[in-house]
Amino acid sequence: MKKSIINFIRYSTLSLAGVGALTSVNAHAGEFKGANFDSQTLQSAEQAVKESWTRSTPEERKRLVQDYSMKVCTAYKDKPTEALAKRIKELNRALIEYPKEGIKLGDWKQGEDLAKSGYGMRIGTIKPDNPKKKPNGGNCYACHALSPSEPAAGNLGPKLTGYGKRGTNDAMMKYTYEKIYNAHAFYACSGMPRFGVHNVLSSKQIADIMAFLMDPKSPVNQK
Amino acid sequence: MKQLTKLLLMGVIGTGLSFSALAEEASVKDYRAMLEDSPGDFWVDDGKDLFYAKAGPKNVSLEKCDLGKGSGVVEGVYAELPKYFADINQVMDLEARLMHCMITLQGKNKDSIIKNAFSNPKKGKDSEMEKIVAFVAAQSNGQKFQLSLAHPKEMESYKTGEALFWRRSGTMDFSCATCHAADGKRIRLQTLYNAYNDKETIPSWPTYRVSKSTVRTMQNRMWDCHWQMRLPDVDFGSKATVDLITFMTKQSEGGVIQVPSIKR
Repeated sequence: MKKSIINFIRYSTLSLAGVGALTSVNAHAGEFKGANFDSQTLQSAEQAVKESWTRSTPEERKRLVQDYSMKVCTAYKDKPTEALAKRIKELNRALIEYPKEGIKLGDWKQGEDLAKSGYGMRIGTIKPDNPKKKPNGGNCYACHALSPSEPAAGNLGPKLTGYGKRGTNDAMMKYTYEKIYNAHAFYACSGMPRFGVHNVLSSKQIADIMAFLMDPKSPVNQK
Repeated sequence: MKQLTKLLLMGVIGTGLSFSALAEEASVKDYRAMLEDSPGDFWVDDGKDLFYAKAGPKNVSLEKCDLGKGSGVVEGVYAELPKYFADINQVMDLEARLMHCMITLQGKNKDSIIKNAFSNPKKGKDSEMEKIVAFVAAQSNGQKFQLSLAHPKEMESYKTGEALFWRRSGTMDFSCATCHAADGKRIRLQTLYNAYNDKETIPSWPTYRVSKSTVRTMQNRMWDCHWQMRLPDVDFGSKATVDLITFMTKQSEGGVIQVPSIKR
């Protein structure tokens, strides 16, 4: 609970900084130099967003607010300049929070369920997802191949079959945790959601997904 | 002969139980070819009746509706939409324009049109909009999309649409481009349309969706994608949806319209 509040504050602060930066794109014109979209087009997109979600609640509309990373990625069609990419990675690294008990592997079976599940975070007129009834999933299979026995895997992300062969040393544990928590700390404008930053997955759920990836007994690591 | 072809195709599907994505694709394509006619044709027929039927508080039909080629012209209008309409000084897609006509000509209530824009067969909820859209769109079958973007507002809609296409937001950090800007990408086994290299997908909408047992329109697609991206419900016929549709339709220029198609 406490963690989520801290997270919320951190993220909100970043969002606010981002809003400030883009409500006046011109003030940062230098920063967005060479972007794919000119400031006029970006402003017109923001205006369109303002006009086009009038039937949602203010709480729901918070999801439309972009943080700094999102704004840069939009302006540069996900290929920011080297300097901006560096800044995005730094900003996102600062958002990563670690479990008090240290980074550990959880239960790979539960991790497998989370990797399969696309439940969670949907809102609107259709009955919104309720995390109290069913936990949010990680939906890993939507984009990644994992267990060799599950052929219905997407290919937007790299194949992760046999991920655990790299072992479970501290560096691999830290890398994997951080990557799931905030992929944008490694690769600016990555297509992977920032599961920890947005509180889609808890640190326990991340530990379970890590076990699914890294536990030698997990189907991901079977031939 | 037709029966034989069907049997052969069924054989192909039956034996082709390979799980590779390629095999999956081939079988779905064969299945579609086998169906030949889309159940969506029923929506076209119903839509025609609804278009010419007197309705709304003013008890008039949509015959006086100018969809871009003058009052009552339905043939070929879809191939040029979205476009700029001087009477309202904005760019509209087919659905936004039909809603405009329903309000101004027929005196229908905007909230009620929006509330009933999408059918829900599971709940027995019907949509006149889906039927009328299917009818009007089908009157451009065999034609190619041709958006001039000659009016500054049309160009603005296209450019804004592309920026919205890349606009990242929400708890998943997604934009449309996250999934729809490269070739050969899939979510699970579902192949994904690439807005930068696809002349077939957009001209196949509206489509009969087997999984939904109804015809779905581009406005529904815009709502559905945003919902799946974990964003709030985007307004029916809103500027963001029209701009996105302008962008994607222009990208599809050259593709032949054949609707309602049939999809998963």
